[in-house]
Amino acid sequence: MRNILIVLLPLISSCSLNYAKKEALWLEDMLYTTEGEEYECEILKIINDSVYVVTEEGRLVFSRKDIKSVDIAKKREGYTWKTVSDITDTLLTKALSIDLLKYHEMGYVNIWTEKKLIIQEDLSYTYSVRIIRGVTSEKGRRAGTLSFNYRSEQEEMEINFARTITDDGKVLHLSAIALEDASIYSRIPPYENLHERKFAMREVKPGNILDFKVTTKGRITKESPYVLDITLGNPGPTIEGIIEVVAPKNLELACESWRIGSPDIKRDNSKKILQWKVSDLPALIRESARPPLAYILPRVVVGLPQNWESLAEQFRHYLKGDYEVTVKKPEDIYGEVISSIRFVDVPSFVSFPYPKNAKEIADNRLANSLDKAHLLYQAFRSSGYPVEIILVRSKERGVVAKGVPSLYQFDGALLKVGNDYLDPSSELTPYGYVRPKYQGTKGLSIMKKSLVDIPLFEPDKEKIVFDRDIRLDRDGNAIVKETVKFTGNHILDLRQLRYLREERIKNIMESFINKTIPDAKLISYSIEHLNDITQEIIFNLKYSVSSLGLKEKDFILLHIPGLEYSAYSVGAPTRNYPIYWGHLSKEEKKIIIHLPDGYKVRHIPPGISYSIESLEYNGTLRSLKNRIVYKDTYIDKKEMISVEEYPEYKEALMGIAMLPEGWIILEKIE
Amino acid sequence: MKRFIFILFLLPALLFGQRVELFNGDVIKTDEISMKGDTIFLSDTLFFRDMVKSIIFSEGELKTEKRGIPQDILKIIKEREGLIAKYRDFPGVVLLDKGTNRLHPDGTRTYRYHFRGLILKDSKRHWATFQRRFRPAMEKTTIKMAQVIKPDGKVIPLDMSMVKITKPRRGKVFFGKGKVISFALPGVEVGDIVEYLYEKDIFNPWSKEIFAFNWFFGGSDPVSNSTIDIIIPGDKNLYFVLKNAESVAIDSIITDSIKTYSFKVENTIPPIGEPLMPAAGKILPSLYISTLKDWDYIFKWYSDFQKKRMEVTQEIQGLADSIVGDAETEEEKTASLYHWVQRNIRYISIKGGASSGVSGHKASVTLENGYGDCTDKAILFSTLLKAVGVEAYPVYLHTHPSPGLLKEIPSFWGNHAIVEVFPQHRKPYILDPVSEHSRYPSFAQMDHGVYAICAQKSRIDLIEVPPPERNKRNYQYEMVFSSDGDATIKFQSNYTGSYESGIRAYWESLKPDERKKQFQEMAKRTSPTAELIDYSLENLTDISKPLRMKIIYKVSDLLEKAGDLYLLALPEIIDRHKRRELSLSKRKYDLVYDTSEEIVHTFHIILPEDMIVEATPEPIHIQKKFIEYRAGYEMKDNTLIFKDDWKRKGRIIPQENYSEYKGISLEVSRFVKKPIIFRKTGGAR
Repeated sequence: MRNILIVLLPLISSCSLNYAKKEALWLEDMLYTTEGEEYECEILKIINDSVYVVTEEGRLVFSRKDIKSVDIAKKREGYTWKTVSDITDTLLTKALSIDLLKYHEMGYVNIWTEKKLIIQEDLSYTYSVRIIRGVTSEKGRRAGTLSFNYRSEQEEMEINFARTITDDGKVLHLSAIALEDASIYSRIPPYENLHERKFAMREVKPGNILDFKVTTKGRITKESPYVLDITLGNPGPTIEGIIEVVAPKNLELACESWRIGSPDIKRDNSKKILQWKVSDLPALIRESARPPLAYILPRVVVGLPQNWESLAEQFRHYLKGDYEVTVKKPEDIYGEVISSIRFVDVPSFVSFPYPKNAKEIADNRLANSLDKAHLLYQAFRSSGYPVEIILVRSKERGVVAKGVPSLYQFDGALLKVGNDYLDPSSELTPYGYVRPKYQGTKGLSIMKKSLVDIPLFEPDKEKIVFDRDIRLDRDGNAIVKETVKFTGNHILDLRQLRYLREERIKNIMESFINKTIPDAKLISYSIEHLNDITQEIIFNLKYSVSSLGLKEKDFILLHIPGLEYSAYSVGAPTRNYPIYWGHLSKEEKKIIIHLPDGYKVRHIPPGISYSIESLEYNGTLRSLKNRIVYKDTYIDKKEMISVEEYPEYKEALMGIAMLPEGWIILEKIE
Repeated sequence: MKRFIFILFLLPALLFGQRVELFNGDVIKTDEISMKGDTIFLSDTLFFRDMVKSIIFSEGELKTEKRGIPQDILKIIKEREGLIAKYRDFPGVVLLDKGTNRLHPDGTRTYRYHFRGLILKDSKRHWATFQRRFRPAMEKTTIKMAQVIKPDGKVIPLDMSMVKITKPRRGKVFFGKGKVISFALPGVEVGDIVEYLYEKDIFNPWSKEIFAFNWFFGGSDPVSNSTIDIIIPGDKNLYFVLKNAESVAIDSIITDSIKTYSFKVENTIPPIGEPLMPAAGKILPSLYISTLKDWDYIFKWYSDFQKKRMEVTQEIQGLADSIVGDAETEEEKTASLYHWVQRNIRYISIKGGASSGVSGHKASVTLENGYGDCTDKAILFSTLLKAVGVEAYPVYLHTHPSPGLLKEIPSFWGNHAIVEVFPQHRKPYILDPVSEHSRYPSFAQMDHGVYAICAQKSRIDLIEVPPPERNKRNYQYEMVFSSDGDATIKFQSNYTGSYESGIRAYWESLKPDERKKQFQEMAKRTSPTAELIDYSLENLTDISKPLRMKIIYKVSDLLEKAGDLYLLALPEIIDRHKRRELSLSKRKYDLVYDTSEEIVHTFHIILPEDMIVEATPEPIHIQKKFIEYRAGYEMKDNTLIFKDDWKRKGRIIPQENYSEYKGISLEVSRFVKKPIIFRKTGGAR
């Protein structure tokens, strides 16, 4: 079957023997034959119809027609190092002496982390990351699979080196085939720009040291307003970490930092160097509701000194192209634009920081937040409404660095029409609603030419209200009528029900009631305002439940049906990080249990109330004639609960979690 | 029905074209290429080797065919009106879902796909963006036509300059040579029809002899017309199996030079989603074809690749000997090597050509790199076993919930590789070294109940679903109550099978501080007043030994006081018997689990002197085909003992048995919810 021409050349001369011996150490190219076979090799030459290679089998010659393709490996910095004794890098040599046992169970330890930005006179920049990392236990094996992002149209990226130094002294270099460059938004060609370079290092095992360096190159321009916005730290502890910015002596820089202090500044004749250093930074710990990393790790933002006013002015020049709508009222204009343009969630800072022409957006019928906002802006303007466009930054990326103006700080845009803030994203986002990711942040108002506050919505705008009416019979079975009203961010997902078929919605309703009360059988349901995005969504449900109350002799026993408060999340006595909710919220419940004939209330659990900085809760349980009425209101009053506030929050949650545990006991009347 | 009117142009699509891909993503076509030293010369330029990522040589000679594209817009618009009325409840309807797969006499092939879809709701506007994967060294994808048809008949064609070829992002551990061709049709709104047609020329298939293919009629949207045409040379035969396809229309045209088969299904409706339903591919009408009558060619093709990769080098022999140490039995040796490969080779998938694609890299290469994917780990593990005299081979399979390989239709489209061990004195069995936490002899549940293809033994075996006791969770509690109602609880658990692997993986991924927090939270889940006293995880990183979890905690409010009565609900057991997948009152499809299941509880409740048991629920025993449950209380001295044992024997509950299964599950759930009632006696027992 194999008709491939392979000629094994005799290695007879001492010259070729030496050559083969030496080069056998470098078999990083790959050759793929048309028969499907693969060879790790070094390609020596390609002449006429022949390809000459060295493989572990010796020197081979392939006919070109038998070769599908070849991958050429890059000779990276230090590629000639084969053992520890070859290493000439003193930083690495020093790192090899670290006692990894000290960090056992951490997975890995960052022995040295250096993030370095060099800006030249012509505003070209080189940003490099070098990390020397020790693998300390099995769970650290993933620390050798890495990825770095860059903007492919404005930047170039290079893996300078990625080598593993094994505990027995070998140096293993990155294989060319274990390196890949990929487009993150390849599915959305008009916004395709952000790329990822990922690679897998060899022999990532406890006791081994990983050493890699990645460099990104670009130029700061109006269209590419680069800012360095980075954090230090990750799931492994960091022994020494440094952020360094090198710039020409006379180039002004703007910088802001959090949790790392001020930089040391050094100057010489030609350049200045800003340095932030950390040592013994602890490993990140997993915690429920942990804030995004930009709120808990040392963070540095560096850019050129500009002012927000001139950036806004610059941006304004891109607000071009008319767009007219067929309706007049603001809500209708919003509705027409929001529903006619498909939203694609590509942040503007990884695609393009300025909006496309409104006509182009309208023609494409596809836009990200920035472009959709621009089109809506033009629609309002052409209808004669005063409108303000505000660039915004997702909370998850950390707060806006006010002292480092740059359009790359933002990822989307809102509009302000009258007193209403509009978030033109998916067609399901209601008029006047702003997604939690932008609530309570700072944005750049293009018209005011300054940073402005985006409102944090009151809990009443992020609310769920349950109204449950339960009729028990003498066997403990129940018929339940329930109304659930949803507002705020809850609606965004629920509104997607309108795309589903009736049978699928019915299945989802069955799952919904079973999640609240297992063994519930749906009798009927309706959903109000599913298609009207200006209204709250209301579920009207009727279902039966067998043995909701457990019959034991003369008693019927049950918990308050559908209460799911738990103290699970506050199990730890203390926290390492704040609790992060990202928005405020409220939940109200009213549950009425109608007693079966011939039964009276023997026992109900007591009600509980808490009012603290972060939380408001009031739950009451009353026994009235023939019925028990439970009412509660639960309000999360803060987006973020600090570590100091945690003990009282924990106590409150533990108290609230007692309610679902409590038994209601009904007793047969003699 | 017979619409195979082709105008044949027997043209070479590409004449010995060569392409050079640079690291910056640029691709340069060239007629000439040579390399001397570190310099690569093209016809009109040169590059240093550090700038060049790959060179794709001859793309082969492919005899292609071209045909006119029917453009009867009026007819489409007319059809549109009827479909809007018929499918108004759906977000979109596919008017045309037509594929043509042609095998050429030289083994190359051409796949052509034509789509036309009507958007009825916003959620289907994503049809406007198109993306298809292809592997540049073996195939070429061309967009032949793409357009938007507005309700008034206006047509907006795609500006072909907007077609992009990029490398798509995949999971962090996957490396390969695939790219995507993509475009976004402009101006697409609800009510529009999106239409496109593309062609994929496969000039370097992995094997020119193997022509196997699946087609699903329909999908997540209703499809008005789903058709697949298979065209093969006259000297080949087509073998096919249709599944769930009672309504399929089959047609064929046989000439001396070609055979054309057409399979068509009209008006397919997508299945309604249900919890734990079978994969869509198992429900939809589907076609499986191959030009191979039996598996012999594939067995040999695979074997040839695998044998070359399973070379026991000196290093491998030395390693294998050192791992098995003084183990004597085949089973001991197998277990120790199984655990070693799982723990020492991390999962990284690197696919280059056919050989790494289907059979993996050489065992020695995987060992040297310290990483590999399922195929690599299967090769290495089999080779290590070979070194110690245990017969074992890599096998490939299609894991569930994907549609699976059909035994009747030879094909190489598996999605996973594992190892079949052939011991001397017992029947063959399966091990899956891709996991990092499977204790011998357990293996990943995604492999349970599917066919495994063992090329080197020329056999296909069904992997049995392990019995419930090999997927067991065993929970033990000792609850000591004081007379004021406080309790000290000693909890202990151990496991077998996939559940143990999952639990072990989770706990191992945590740092010591994180584990402590997690245990504190677990205690709090039992009761808000619970306080953790101690915890331990035995054998966490030694996967050859059973994992044991122990927790000790104190609780002050487990007993609910109601007059002189005290109620106790057994902690945690209710949650373990909550089966959210049973929310539907009726199902259309089978209920599909990953594997079998056994859950065992033992509670020792030690009462204070002044408390007696007033009432306990009556014992229960249920035994049915798929399920068995037994539970009850007994009193021994001052200790109330509860034991239960839940067994689900297989992984699939047929739709017709759903009601019974749900009924039993609810009965069990109600049983474990029932509280125990105690009474204070004032000191006398």
